[in-house]
Amino acid sequence: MIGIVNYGLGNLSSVRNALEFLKREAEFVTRPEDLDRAEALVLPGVGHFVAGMENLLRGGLAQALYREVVDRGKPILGICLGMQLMCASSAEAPGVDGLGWFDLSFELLKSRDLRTPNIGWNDVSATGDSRLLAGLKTPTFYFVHSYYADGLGSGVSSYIDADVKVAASLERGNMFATQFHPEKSQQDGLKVLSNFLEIVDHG
Amino acid sequence: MAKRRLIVSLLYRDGVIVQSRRFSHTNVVGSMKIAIEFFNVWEADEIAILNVARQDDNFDLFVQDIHEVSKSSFLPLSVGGWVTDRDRVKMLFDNGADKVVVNTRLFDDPDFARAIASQYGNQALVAAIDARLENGRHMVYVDRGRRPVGLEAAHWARKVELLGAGEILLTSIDQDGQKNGYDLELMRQVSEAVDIPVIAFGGIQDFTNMADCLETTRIDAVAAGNVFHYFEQSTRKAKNALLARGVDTRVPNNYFKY
Repeated sequence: MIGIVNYGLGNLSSVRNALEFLKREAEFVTRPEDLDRAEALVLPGVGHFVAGMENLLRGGLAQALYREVVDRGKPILGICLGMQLMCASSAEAPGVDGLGWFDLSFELLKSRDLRTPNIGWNDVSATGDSRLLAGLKTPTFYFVHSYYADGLGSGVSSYIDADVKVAASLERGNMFATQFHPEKSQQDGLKVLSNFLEIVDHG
Repeated sequence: MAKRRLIVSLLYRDGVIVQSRRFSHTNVVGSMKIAIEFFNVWEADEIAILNVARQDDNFDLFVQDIHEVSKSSFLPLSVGGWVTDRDRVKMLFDNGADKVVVNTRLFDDPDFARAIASQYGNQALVAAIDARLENGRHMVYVDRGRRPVGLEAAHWARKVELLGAGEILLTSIDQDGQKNGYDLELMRQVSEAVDIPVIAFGGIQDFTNMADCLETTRIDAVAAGNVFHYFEQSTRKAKNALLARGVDTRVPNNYFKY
C-alpha cells in the first residue's frame, strides 16, 4: 500500500487516481501511526510553504516522516510543495525550516524564458542516471510553481534548462521528489510514477 | 519557454456538453465523460470545464460530474462557472479541480481573489475575462456577457493580476462561435499588459487561427471548444498543425497503455 500523506494541502485524489490506474493500492494517511503501514510514501502538496510545514509539525507528521524515511529508509516521493518541504528552506517562508533532507533553498522564479508562476509543460534534462526518468528519452512534464531550486544544486537529477536552471527532480537513496506533477503529466508522468513503484518493489 | 498549451474547453450545462455562439448555446454535444476520455487520449495539454448554465441551480450535479471525470483525467483540469463563494471553491478543489476559473465574482468582490490565492496559491486561480469591442475599445462584461463594468480588458487584466490571479482566460464575446478566428488585437493587448500567462479563447475556425495567434502575440495558451467536437483525433491534429508551423508545443505520442 502506498501511503499518500494527507496534511491538508494538495489534490491528493489525483495522485491516488494515477496510482490506482497503475494498479497500485493507495490510501490517504493522516495520522503519524498510519505511516507505518505503508510500504512507501508520497508527499504531495499545493499551496504555501508556511502552511505546509505548520501542518506537518502540528499533526506530528514531520516526526513520523523522519522516523519512516530517515531512520527506516522507506521510499518517499515528494511532489511540488512536497518537494519543497523536503528541502532546507524557501524564500516564500523566511525563517521557517523545511525537513532539510536535501540541502536546497527555494527562490522566487525570475526568468526571461519562464513566466512567474511557471504554469505549463517544460522539457527537462537529466543530470546523469536518473532512476525516476528511466526509459524517458525526451521527458516533458507539467509544472505549476512560483518558487524554484537551483537546477545545478546537490541531489538534483533533472532540471529545466532555461536562462535559469530550475530543479525538476531530486534523488538520493530512498528519497525522490519532483517539482512537476507526474499525476498531471499524462504518459511521461505516469512513467515516472511507474518508475517510483519499480523502486519501491525492487529497491 | 514553457511550451505553448492547447486547452480543450468543454462547456457544460445541466449534465451535458454544449456548443456556443456569441454566448448563446446551440447544440448539445454529448456526455462529459466520453468527451474527457477522448481528449485525454488525443493529446490536449489541459482541459477546462466551464458551467455555462443559465440558472444557478445545479451546482451539486456539476461537482459530482467533475468528481467523476477527474478520475480518468491525467491532465490539468480547470473548472469554472457559477463560482460564487469560497465553499464552492473548496468543493471544486476537493472533487478534482486543479484550478478554478472565476469571472463575475472577482469583479464584485476584490477580496475573493485574495482569499483564494492566499489559501490555494495564485496558480490555482484563473481569472476569466470576457470582452466586447465597442468603439474601438475592448470593454469587459461580466455575468455571462450581460453586464458591462466600464473597464477596458487590459486594465482589468492588470487589476486581477494584482489581486492574485495566476492566469487569465480571455474571451472575445464577438468572436465566440463565429469561426472567424480570435480577436488578435485583444489577445495582443492583454498578453502584453500582464506578466501572468494568458489563455486565448473564443472563435477559432481552424488551426491556422491558433497558429496565427501564437506567432503574432505573447499568448501562452490557446483554448477552443466548439471546433474540437467536429471530428476525431481533433486535438492531435491541432497539435500537429501547430508543430508544422514551428510552434513550441508538447509533442503528441501514443497513448500510454499498461
